[in-house]
Amino acid sequence: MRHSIIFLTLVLLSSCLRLDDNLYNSDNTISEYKFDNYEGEVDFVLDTSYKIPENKFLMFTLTSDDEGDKAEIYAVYLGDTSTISEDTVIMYCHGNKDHMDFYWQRAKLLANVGGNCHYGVMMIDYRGFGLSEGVTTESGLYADVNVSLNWLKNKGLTNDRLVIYGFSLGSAPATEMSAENYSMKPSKLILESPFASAEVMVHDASSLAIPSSYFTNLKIDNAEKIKKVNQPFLWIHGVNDAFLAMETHGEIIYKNYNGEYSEAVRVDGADHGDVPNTMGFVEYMTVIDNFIKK
Amino acid sequence: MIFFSLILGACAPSRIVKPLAKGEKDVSFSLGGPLIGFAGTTIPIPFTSLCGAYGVKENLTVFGSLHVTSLAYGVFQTDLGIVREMIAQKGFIPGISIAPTANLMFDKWESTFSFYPAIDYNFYWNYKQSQNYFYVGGTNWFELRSTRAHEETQQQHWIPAFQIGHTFKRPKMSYTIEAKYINPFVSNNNIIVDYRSFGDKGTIGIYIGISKRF
Repeated sequence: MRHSIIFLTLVLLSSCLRLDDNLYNSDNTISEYKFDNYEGEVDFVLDTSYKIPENKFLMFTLTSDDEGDKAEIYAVYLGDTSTISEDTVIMYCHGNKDHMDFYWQRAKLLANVGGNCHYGVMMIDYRGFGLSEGVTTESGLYADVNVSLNWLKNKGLTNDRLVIYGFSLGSAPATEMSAENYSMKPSKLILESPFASAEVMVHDASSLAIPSSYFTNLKIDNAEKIKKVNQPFLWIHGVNDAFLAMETHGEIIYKNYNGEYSEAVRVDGADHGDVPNTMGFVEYMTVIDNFIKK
Repeated sequence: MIFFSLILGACAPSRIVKPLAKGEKDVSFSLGGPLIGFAGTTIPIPFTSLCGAYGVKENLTVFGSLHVTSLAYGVFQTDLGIVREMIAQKGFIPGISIAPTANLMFDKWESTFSFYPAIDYNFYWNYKQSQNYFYVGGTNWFELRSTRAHEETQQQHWIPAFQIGHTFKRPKMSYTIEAKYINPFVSNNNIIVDYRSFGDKGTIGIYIGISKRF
């Protein structure tokens, strides 16, 4: 009996470890953002022709409230904030690595789609990333993107001119905002190298159809959530994605989409982080521009 | 990014390679797992487990284990099995043992139960009149579920591994080191874990174990 009690106590008390936090590979040790002067690792670097004019760049903070868990998060807007009420804006939800400096080149690239600052681009560091306060959580991701959409809405943006773009981890808030009711409802959804669900990650890594709850409490399930998205959907994925396999992640999401229009771009030779440069920046921007204009 | 270290069939080394003597008891602790790339280097995932065994007959031992690392993640994981010596060693002809095992798992988070049958086989050689032995063999896990995430078909139902190891046997203690080639026929590309192997198939597992007999 005594041994049974000890054993049960062990089971109940020793179970605080989860792998959830491993999903967020953030770096919050920086003291400032460097953007164009960032010398850390990035996926690609654009030449000076993609430079964003100083008067079309704004960095600011927002207070994000995740059911009482408040955090000051950092945001950047690439474009003219005085014309948000007229412009089409891309809300860029970055991936799980480091902070906005790592994704700055990607945001700049999107700000050059259709011409320099033709579309406004907004990017944030989720809580726990870069200089943003707090600890990253699944619900925090949604709260942080939601407060950003609310800021755009207050600047005069309307749903029909909002496009949301999710890269890798960012596919979760992008899909969530498109499927559910938040501050704004994007009119178009773009996912680059998305992940289907924590369950697929577990199954791919183990070769077994083992329950994901053995490793993580993450409920992110883009493959199911996409079923509620009706807006036009563009999916881009590297055929050689060695991190989130195109077949088990992206293809499932694309297959589960039942909305009004979808477009798939499978990029030969591209891995997880090099889709834009493998496609070629011009081709990549053309695909995005054509989709937004549809 | 993520290191979901998930090859559960690779959580532990071979439990009992050579059956215990009748009435003999053995308690062991093992440490090790698949090799992964981590922070710029290669490390074995530090899975730990405890195992108890009892010699029912001269050629039959029963055992049960508790996976300590899994327990720390809220998952009760055990493997229960028997080891039977099929052929005793005769000179250079190795002894052969077979170990059918039931791997059982249950998590406190969603109360999900899993059962994976497995069967191990080992060829072992005592040498130089000592009790030390060298062994080679295989481990076979079986996935009984027909579907995986999002109702996709579960393609792989047999997850094999091949092991090679050595046990240094002292009067009351034993020390084992083992290497496994896990899932050797399946690509280790395009998955979230950076498994390390000879090439682009499977992964290598490294384990050490210590046991005390009573």
